Amino acid sequence: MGIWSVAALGLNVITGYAGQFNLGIGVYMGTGAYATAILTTQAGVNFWLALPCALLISAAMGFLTGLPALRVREDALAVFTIGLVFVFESLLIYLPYFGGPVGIGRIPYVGINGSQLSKEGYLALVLVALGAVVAATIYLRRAWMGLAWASIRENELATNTIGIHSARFKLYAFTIGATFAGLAGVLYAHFIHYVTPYDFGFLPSIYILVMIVFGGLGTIRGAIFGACFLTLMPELFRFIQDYRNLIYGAMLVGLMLFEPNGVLGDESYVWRLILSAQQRLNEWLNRVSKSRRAYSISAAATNEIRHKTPNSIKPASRKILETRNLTRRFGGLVAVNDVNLEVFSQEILGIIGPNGAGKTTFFNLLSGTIPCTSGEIRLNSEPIHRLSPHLIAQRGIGRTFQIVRPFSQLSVLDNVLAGISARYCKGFADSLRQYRNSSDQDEAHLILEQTGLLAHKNEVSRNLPLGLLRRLEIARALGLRPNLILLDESFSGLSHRESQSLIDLVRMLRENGATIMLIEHNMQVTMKICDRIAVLNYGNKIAEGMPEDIRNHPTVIAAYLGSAHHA
Amino acid sequence: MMLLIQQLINVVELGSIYAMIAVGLALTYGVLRILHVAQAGIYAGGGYAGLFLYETTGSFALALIGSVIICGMCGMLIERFIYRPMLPRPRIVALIASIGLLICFSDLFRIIGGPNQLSFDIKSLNGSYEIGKLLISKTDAAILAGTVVIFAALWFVLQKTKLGFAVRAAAQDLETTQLMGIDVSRSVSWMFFISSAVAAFGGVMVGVLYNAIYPDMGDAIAYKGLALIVIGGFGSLTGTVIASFLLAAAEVFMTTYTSVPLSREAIAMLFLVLLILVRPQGLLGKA
Repeated sequence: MGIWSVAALGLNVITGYAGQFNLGIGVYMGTGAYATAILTTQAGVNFWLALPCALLISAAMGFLTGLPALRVREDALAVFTIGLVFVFESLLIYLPYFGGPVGIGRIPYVGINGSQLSKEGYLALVLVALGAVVAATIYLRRAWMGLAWASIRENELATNTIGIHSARFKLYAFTIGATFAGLAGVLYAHFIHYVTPYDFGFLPSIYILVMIVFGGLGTIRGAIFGACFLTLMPELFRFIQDYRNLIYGAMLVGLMLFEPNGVLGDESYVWRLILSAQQRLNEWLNRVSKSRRAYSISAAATNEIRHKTPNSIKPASRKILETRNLTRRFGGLVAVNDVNLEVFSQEILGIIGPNGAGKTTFFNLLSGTIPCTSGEIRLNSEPIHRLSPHLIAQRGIGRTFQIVRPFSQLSVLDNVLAGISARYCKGFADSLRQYRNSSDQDEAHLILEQTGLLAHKNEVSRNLPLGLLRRLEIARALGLRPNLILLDESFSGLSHRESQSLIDLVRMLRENGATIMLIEHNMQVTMKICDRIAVLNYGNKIAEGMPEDIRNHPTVIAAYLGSAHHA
Repeated sequence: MMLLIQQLINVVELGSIYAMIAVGLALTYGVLRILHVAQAGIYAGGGYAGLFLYETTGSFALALIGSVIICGMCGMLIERFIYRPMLPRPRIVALIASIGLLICFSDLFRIIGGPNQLSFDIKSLNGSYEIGKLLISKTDAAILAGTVVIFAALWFVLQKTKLGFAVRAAAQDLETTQLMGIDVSRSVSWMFFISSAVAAFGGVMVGVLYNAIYPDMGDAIAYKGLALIVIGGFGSLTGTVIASFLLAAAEVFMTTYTSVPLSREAIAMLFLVLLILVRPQGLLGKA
């Protein structure tokens, strides 16, 4: 049971945390198992030496399979991993080196100092391994790595725009998950003393997937519970042995219908019972102990952070962004056509135009979310149009989205922390640091204070109203201290009061040194807040200038004729 | 030369069967974004139902039509009661439920029909036709004819009828189709009927062709079908059909002319893995 738990935890890292649906976990488990099998039987290597070798090989396998997985879409990924495991199984059967369909047998018992490990001893070994994997998983979850994974799982596109290189972290997930699964494979091999290709094929992979979904996807307790329960079940239900598969399948269907988060998942009936019992216990305990200290930022820390932000006043005529002949085609449709635009430091530039004019596409080009067909974009005179979105974000462009894309299951604080994380995750070692330590929290709290979200910091962002969600997106984008902020229809759907306070926020951002470009349909806001306005229609820039000039510009009025918003 | 012709016939037959399953999968995925793995269970069910009806009625035509209708309705029921409640959930939920269904089906067939292969022998289809110098078995001819009929019917429904139009529209943009006043849930139901019916047809055909019906017959094809829609490119029916025939050709020629020691499933999957490495969006998919 412990062995399956380890494997389940491995898959949990890949699928539960990072959200990458891997249906072929057997590949990694089998790699580990066969590696140790071959090493110990044919090469005569001692178990304790074979173990790290097998783990390394599994990790490499995870990395190698992760690379192509980066290129496929979400649904295709599931199918791709199914394909992988079938190919793997077949290779094991047909390549002579692996012993064929009969597999490799007579895998030795594990020994310490010459004496063989008893059954109890082996159980202890497995439990130690399980403990190590659980500890590692918890550690990872609390590190920047875990936060990056959660962000990727929630919304990969947004993750890249805050500077996190999603591909890199997905690879980490694959490699680490594969290593865990490989460990499980090694333990399996020395437990059963025999490995066959069928032990690690598609069906076993699905069993493991079912374990974590059954127990609760994305949770450690779920993975372990699922593994234990499903391994025990055949024993418990021995009397209906004949109908085993039928019941198993029916259970899957029923579970998905009624409790898709798994038995111990975050929203499940069982877990909520447990949580409410725990809460009542906590309340009782709290009544007899002191209340906790509320979080507060010291004045000194605040000043220190303020000094680190970029200087406010720069010469107004300095060009911060420039596009030349920027064009984007989608097949026959030209969404952005030969647009030349200059944006000056610390101005608030509005981008307006009728629906479908290409404004959001324009922003997507600037943030690197989509590549341009031709033309160039220069940020501070350096070309950025060929860079990936996370690199562009790291160079100082932050953005929000027309349809909000928060990391919905994360708290407000975590969202903002994710926005900051790219600055601290330069390397693998960095991303292993725990992210709840004080200095990073201070900065997040400062941003929350600036954007007026401090009171909501622990709320799950899914529950916030739209106005606050838009602020949250801005707060998240501020994490990398961008020089240029792109706001895409941030004012749509807001009440008058909400709009007014958002206007104040935007002005404050400008005072702190940022340049702002905003796409808006709300003309009152646009006229009030923008220094200059550029107008797009059918992908072309048809006008540019001061608000009063735009208001009276004949081409602009003609373009908008019939729209509900008149300047 | 005879061998080549025979192989070509095999390719067409196999390709059509794959296409029948894959097209159903592609349609389902296009509209609901669900990987309807259980489709293979319906395919196997079609085989069993067809056999059962043939043995009770003695008429192949009746067996075929009956099986198609029964399975079509099963498909509709599955959509209505299992997939529809899962639509707001993350997609893996539906996938796992589908896999569970497939396991259920396989076991159900094992319990009801016995774990062994059943023979599906149509007396009237023994023997062969002579066309000039060619010898085509009656079975092959019947299957080829059946395939043509089914694909023609499918093409007709999808391209020329209102229902087909609604289905194609829904596959492209579900929300807008609803806004246009088309009753999407009814179209989806009919679409499941159609894909299940076609799958059942394929099941009967396969049973007759190989003279074998067994509980696991869905399994092999289920995952091949998934591979096919990925290879063809998500959202492209034509791509899926092309992929089906390509795969059939690959399988037939590889097993006949080479001695590559890979099982037929592995060939399909290898194809898939290699293609994704080179062209992640599939043959005709959008990038």
